[in-house]
Amino acid sequence: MIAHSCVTVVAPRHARSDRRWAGRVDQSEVADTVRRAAAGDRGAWDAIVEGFGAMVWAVACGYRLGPVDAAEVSQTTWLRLLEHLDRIREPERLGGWLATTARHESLRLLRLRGREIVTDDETRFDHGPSYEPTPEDLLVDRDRDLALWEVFARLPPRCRTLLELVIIVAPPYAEVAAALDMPIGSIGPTRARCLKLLRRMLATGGVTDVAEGR
Amino acid sequence: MDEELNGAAPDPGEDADDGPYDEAVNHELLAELAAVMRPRLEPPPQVLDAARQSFTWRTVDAELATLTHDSLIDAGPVLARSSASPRILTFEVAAVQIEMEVEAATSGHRLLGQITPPAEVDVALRSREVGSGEVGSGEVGSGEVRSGEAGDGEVGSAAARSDPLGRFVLPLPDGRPLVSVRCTFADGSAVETARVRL
Repeated sequence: MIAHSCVTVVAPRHARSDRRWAGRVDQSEVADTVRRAAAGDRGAWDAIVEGFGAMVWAVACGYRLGPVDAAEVSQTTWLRLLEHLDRIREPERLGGWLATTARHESLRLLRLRGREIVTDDETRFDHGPSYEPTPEDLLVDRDRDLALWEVFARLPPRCRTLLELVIIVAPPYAEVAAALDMPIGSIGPTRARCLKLLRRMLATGGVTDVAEGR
Repeated sequence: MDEELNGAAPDPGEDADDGPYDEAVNHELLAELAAVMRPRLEPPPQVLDAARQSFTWRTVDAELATLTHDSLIDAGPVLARSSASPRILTFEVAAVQIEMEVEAATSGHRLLGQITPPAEVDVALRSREVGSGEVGSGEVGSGEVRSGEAGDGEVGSAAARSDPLGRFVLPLPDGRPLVSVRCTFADGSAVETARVRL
């Protein structure tokens, strides 16, 4: 149960990231799709899963859940949406709703598992050891990519989680704020600080005293 | 958050500047990071498959009672962690409230329920597990479920009738599957709870 153990190490055959929705499409399109799904349109449901599935997964992964538990959180989150399809008050804010729900379901599962968890915001993400590069990582052919990956893995856990979510969704980061239970106004500055730290670590070969810093 | 990150930076003074140069460099770095990380952040295909399949679990012939209280979450971390306190859940829709308590006994787990306002109703427990697609029995009364569809695995059910005070007892299956309770009233109308893992 280490942090981010559900981050995959092998790239899928085709990246679908350009079809991401979360924050990238016309909000009215999302609202309309929710309404169609509520009316029984299975294609609309599939489109929602396609658009937000990676975000829901990333939120679960950010809570130190292993792959099995992250899959469970993902599934429960989608069931909650299914149950609430026709009663979501602001369908255009679906992403934020899903992120909040995934956060709640992550906490519920952690409690159900009887794990010792600290609900305090400052420490929630700080327990897992950083993930080690695997042999597959050594196949990354560009040195810069590998360096970036290695240094990224040494960032404080909360920085990693925030940046991972930022990568998946688009501004204004409503989903990131909902997933981390942070004010939306602090996402931008925090992102900037995390990136700056990453830059500094890259410049020094990752040898800044980050490990002891937090 | 801010404190934590400042703490991580050896020189807090360096965090002070937030100029346009920084922004441009950060933007570039983020794009680079995205290219490296995105493939790693893809959920496994079976996770997305399960999400798509859950559409077959739609409840179209009963009012859905949503989970409004779960002692696991709402009672606070201390109480939630205490193994001595039973798990209590409340579901509500319109004027109906269903309260349930998980009772752990040596002979197996039971679900103690209370319907408010009190009524004698048929209660049925449904438990399903995602991914046990072969079971695929199809749900009675739900027009949305297609028999044999992957991801629709009903792993067990139990039925009972509440007493005049609205109380009922249902046996819980082993293995903690997702369960819901369906209450069918005398007039044929039904209320079904959200699915939860107990």
